[in-house]
Amino acid sequence: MSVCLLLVLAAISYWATNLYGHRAARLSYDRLLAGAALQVAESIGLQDGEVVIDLPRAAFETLALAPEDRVFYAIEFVDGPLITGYSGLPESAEGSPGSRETGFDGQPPARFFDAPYSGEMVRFIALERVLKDVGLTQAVRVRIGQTLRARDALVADISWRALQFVALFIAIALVLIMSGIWMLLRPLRNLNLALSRRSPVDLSPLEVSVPQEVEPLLRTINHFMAQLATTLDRLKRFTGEAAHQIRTPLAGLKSQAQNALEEQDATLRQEQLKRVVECSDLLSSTVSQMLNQATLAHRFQSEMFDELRLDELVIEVCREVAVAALHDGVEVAYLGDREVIVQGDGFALKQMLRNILENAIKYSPQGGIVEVNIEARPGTAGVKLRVSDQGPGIPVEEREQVFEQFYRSPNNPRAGSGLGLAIAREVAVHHHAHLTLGDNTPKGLVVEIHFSRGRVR
Amino acid sequence: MRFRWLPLGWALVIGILPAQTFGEDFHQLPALTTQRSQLRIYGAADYPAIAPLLQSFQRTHPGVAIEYTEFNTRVLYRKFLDSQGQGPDLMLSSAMDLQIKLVNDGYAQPHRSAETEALPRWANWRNEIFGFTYEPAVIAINSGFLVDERLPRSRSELLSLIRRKGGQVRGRIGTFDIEKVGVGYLTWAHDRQQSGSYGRMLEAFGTHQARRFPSSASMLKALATGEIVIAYNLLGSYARAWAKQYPVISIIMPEDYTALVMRTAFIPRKARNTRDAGAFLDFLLSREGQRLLAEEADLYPIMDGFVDDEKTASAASGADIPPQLDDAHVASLRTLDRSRLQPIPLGLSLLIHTDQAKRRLILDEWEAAMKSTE
Repeated sequence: MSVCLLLVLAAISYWATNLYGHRAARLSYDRLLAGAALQVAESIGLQDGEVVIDLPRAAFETLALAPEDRVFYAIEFVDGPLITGYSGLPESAEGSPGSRETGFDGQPPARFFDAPYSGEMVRFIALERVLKDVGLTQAVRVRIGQTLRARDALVADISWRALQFVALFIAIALVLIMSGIWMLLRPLRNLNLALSRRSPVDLSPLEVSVPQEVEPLLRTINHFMAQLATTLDRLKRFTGEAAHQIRTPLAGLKSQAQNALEEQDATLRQEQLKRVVECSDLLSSTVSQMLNQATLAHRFQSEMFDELRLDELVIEVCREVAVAALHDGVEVAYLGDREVIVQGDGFALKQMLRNILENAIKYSPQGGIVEVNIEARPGTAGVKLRVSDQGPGIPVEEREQVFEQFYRSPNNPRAGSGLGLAIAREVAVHHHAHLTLGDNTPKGLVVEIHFSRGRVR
Repeated sequence: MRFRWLPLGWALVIGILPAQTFGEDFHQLPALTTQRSQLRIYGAADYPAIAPLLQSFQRTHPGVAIEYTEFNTRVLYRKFLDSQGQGPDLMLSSAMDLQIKLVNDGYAQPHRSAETEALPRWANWRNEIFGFTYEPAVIAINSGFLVDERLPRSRSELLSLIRRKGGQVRGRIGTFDIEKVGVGYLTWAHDRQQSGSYGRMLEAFGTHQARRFPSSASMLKALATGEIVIAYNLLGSYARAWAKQYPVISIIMPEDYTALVMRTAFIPRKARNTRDAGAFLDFLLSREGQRLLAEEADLYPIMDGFVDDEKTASAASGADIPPQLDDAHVASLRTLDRSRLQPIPLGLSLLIHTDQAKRRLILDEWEAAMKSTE
């Protein structure tokens, strides 16, 4: 790119110098011509009514400064015959090529023009002089023409010098650009080297000295690596926790199954086998929650948001959990009456809602009611989804901890994976919604999810 | 004054066959073998002077038949202009101004060769016209007319000599008829430009009724016989040839300045045999051609280094150059003294000598000066 630009620049400057060369050559040799013409004009005089011309040698010496050029001249009466010189020189015409007029101090104007003569292009000057003697006025015209060899040579010379200069300029610029690029890229190469030499698990910040210009890049890389380290950490913790959460119930299962095998008493064995089933249920729900979470994490990265009817979504989930709830003696009631729209991922929102509802149902007493409501006002942004139960609630000091993965309240006698609320919170955050816990009256838990961008249809 | 008939030698031939007296002189040299081509040369040099060169050229180009036509320089110029299309293949002349005029007017074609490249810059214009010999314009004096007097060394000394002698030199000063002799006009016009003594010279010539001669030969003959005692602006080679035979003739190269006139050659644009013309031109400028010009034709070659070493050495050792022209200083003239010798440069400024108005002016001045004493 830069080389292209350089070439274009060079072409332009060469063209410009060429133009300048033509102009310079024309001006300087026109001056010689004018000088000679003026000297010739000076040498014309009137003597006893006769025109006398003593051509000055200096005029021809001036013209001979273009040593290889031929010269033609004519001195004639403006309206009459030739006095001396060449007959049949071309006339200057208005608008003939290269025509231009110049005035000299106290002299009539001189006209330059180009015309072919004697088989070559010739540059002419024409000027007039009025001769005055007692009772006599004569106007004479001087025309001098010179061939163009010296002019062309000067143009060629100037152009050649310009070409040399331009070539030098290009060469220097190329070297500068090349070394500039090399110097500029050197810190990047060092950075690349430092990165490639690293072990894949080393995510500590890079310590490479770089010029100011490259520093933002280094900062971004380090920032990215720090994030990667955090994520990796969290993943490690989760894996550890998950292993623990699965291993513990498995160990319980095994010991209870062994106990049941050895138990002679049928009633007791029955009791133990029931516990085995319970344990299996818990394990299965833990595993499915973990899988859910993995699925959600994947969706968060890949799925785009759609426009969703939140009320329909809520009713659907309520229906799904209602039968199982009734089986446990708990009623699920949907109290909303508005059509509400939110931006979101339907699957994820359902998962969140299901976790919250199942949680509410699980902790509800026999005959309890889980109320689901959507609060929204037409014309204003913001939708609140509220799920209230009549269970034991969560003490204020534990309300942050319950969102942590695998957290189990020490006072909580019920089995659970410890993932349900954590997933719910993750989905809410992903939807830019605010999930809060509150107290129900007289007792119970209220889960409120505030979609700040939701609206009534 | 003693007069002695010369044996018919080289020097005499040059003198006795003055081209200027004849309008035209035609010479033919048939090809040595079967004729392949014909070379037509127009020249102002006398045939005997140029003949050895033509013959030598034919020895290396035996198939070339040569026609050499000899003219007075002004006639040559006219003849060339009239001969369009039927003109010569090569033009040789000592009237530099007329030759330059023809070249300037586009009648010549360029010719380049190793020989032309070797020429000094002042002997080549546009690669179209080339100087091949040069010639000092000298003053010759019949020393028999001086009594225990030193020869004048410059124009002003010449003028004071004329003043001193007064009536003795009346009608006994000779110079070219500038109206008829091209080279005479050229040297006189050059004097008018160069010399501060031109006005006094013109006046002296007028008051002493200078005689006008149509050729070098007639002037030298008159000088040898004592008919005239001063010959002004003679061509050096002729004067030297006569001085060899007539020791009474002394040749002076004026110290104020001595103009050098070149013989020039060009190939006309409409030449029919350009190839042989170029070859002969190169031969003229070649070592052999220049040697022949110096030794056989007694002309001054334009290139250095054709005289034998002894002459050059003795000439170069003479730091003080005598005003007289003698044999020892002939060929190496130009290498000896650069300040006094002034080559009339082969170039544009010669054009001024061909100007009609200028010519009229000079001739009028001349006529006026001559009339003033009648």
